[in-house]
Amino acid sequence: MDMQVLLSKIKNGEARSTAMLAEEMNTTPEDVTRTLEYLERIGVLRKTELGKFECGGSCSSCSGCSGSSGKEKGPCKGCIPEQGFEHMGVLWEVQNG
Amino acid sequence: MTDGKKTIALLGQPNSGKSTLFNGLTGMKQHVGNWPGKTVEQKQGGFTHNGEEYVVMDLPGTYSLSANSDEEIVTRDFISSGKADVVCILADSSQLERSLFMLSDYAGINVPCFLILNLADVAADQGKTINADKIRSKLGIPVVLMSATDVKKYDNFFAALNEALSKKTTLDISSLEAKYSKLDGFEELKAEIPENLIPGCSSTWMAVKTIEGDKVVRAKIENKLTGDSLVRYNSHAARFDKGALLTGECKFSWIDELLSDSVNKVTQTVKTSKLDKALTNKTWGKTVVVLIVIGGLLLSFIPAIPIMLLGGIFTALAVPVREALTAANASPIVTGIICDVILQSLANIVKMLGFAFGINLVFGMFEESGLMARISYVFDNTMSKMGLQGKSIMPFLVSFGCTIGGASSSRVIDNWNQKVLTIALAWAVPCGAAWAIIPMLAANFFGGYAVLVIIAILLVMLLHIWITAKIFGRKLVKKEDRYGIIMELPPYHKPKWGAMLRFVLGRTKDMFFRVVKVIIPVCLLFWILSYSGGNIEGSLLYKIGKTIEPVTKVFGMNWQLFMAFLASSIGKEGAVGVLTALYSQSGTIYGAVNGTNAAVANSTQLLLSNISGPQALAFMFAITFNVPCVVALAATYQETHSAKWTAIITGYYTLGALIISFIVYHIGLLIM
Ligand SMILES: Nc1nc2c(ncn2[C@@H]2O[C@H](COP(=O)(O)OP(=O)(O)O)[C@@H](O)[C@H]2O)c(=O)[nH]1
Ligand SMILES: [Mg+2]
Repeated sequence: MDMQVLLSKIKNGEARSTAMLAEEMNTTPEDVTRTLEYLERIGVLRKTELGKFECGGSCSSCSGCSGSSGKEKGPCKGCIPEQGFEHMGVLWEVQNG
Repeated sequence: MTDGKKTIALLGQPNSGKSTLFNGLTGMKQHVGNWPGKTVEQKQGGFTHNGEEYVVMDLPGTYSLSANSDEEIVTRDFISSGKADVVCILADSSQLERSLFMLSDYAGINVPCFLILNLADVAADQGKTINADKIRSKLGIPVVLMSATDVKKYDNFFAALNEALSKKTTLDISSLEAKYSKLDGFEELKAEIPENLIPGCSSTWMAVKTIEGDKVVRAKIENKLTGDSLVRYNSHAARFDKGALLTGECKFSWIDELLSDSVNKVTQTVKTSKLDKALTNKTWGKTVVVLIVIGGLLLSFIPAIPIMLLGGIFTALAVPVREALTAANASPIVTGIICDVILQSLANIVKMLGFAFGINLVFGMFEESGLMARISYVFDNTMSKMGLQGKSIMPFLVSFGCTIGGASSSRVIDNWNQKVLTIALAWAVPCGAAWAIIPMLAANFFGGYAVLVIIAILLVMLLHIWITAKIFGRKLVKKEDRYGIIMELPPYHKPKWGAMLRFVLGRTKDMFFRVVKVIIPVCLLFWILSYSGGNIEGSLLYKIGKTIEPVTKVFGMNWQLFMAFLASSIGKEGAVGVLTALYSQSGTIYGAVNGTNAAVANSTQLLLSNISGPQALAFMFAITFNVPCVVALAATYQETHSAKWTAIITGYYTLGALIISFIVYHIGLLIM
């Protein structure tokens, strides 16, 4: 796959799933996935795993939280479900320009 | 090569099964330490096979052989140190197109090697048939398809090991080299690098690493080259920009060719589900999402209704309690505090919790099932157009529970401008308190039409975010700072009911205590402020209220509603306390003026008879889009470190709430 083309597709700002991207690039989702992984490794893309989000106790000021209150690490129980947003998928981003 | 023992190095990406194979080979005979000078674990072990003794090194699992981490450097140095007689490269058979990357990165290293296609059982389960012999004929090294977990079947492994050792089999990379040589300037660069300048490494391998911008390899080469050849090396190397994209393409396409006729996959057409098709549809996606959200809101009323009715018990209870207290000649203050402040507040609180519970449950289910990811996916596109990173989704989602948490969680955003923009937008997301108060008020005023009110609020939220992004985004985020996004949608899941109920119940419980702490004191305070011996008209609050009422009426709020609106900037729950107090006081006069027993009037009825539909609607929008609460304001300051921007956002939202209130009031007058 031409990685430059892939990057330019991502850059245009339109959100896509990997499956859709595979279709557009005329390849398999596996190919897209490994390429994304590679691009992240070499620092071209940035990966955000929404499921792994932790506020790291940053909610200490949050009176609305049942509160790990900054003491324990991990998602603040009042704001986020116990396992974080486990099923929110993964985002890959590339800076335009 | 220690004491005539042969040394095997296990190389592979994480989870390719190195440790499993290592344990399978060495059993108990292993030693764990650290690599000299590094905090990287070194695992060494030994075994005997057919009377021969072997040493095995479990190299750290790395993605590739570039110099990005200590693990990778340790791995690379060990291989080129010559201490390994043979390198056993492992790949995961269930995802060869990805895990053979290590092999392609190894290509060009001259240390003898062989390839293990591990996790054969998993690949078989996927319906893949892998022809190891075909791969072998292309690579020129022994290739074994096996399962490291199946310790009794290591025969093929030992055969491959022996062959690799005795024949010193090295990888045939001619087809990969052919790809590299098509890269503009590759051959010229390669020509400047002598073979084995770094021990064990071919000039091809070193040229590839140079192109990829590998600083360690470049430094080593620059150290050894002199004069003209150094100048030429550097000038050829400088021709490659983003070289890693080019070499990456070569490696992946080499892997694909390797696998093209040696792996047969039972083509399981990955069917996009009907729902996903609908959601990702360019024209209809957003509509489908909006319909799903509305459906979710309707659903959330189902668990809320019984709890709501439960709240009604407290209201009903106020009547006999008041009668009893009056009969017992209790002071009107005590009666008022018990019936108007405590019981009435409890009634409202329980109703609020009903909705908080319902909404949290339904949207928790959306998240668990993977639906929420799809919902946010549809809006990703919009997000990046607004100049936000994907990470901003998090603060938004958290803000539905608590704006304070939302503001704090914007910490994950590294760009300050985008962080400020994210917080500014997250304020427009109605928080948990709003999601409890608004349905409660809406149900009191409009009964079943409450659903429409909530839908209208959601739509206004989207509009608000969009307008706010336009206003703030222009100042904060430059066009070139915008990001493109791809999202990997998670598969659908069955929600784990137990864990979710626990989370939702916990959250509802938290809310109960928080709300009690705010509503009852606020209610009490305003009740006292407006108490003046049975006639509210004598109270100071009333006088102030009446004085400002001509102005507040413009925004569709009478003075009581406006007081409640002001209280909502401190905390939204406060608004309910204020209303309860002020209307129960009016109730006293109401009762007195009408000459009826004060007991007939409860504040819900009074609320209904004293506030018109358009006023109620305006008020609900006003408190929803008002400043979320004082603590959110503090959190915003804490995250932005900017008093200026905190003040701007606060002013913007106060003004915005009043404008929205004005508009809603006038629309309300037209339609009601
Ligand atoms: N089914 C199956 N699982 C395996 C096989 N080899 C390793 N695993 C599992 O894959 C996971 C990763 O293996 P591990 O040896 O830790 O990989 P490493 O990261 O390369 O050291 C472990 O859970 C192993 O039990 C195999 O041949 N078949
Ligand atoms: Mg391991």
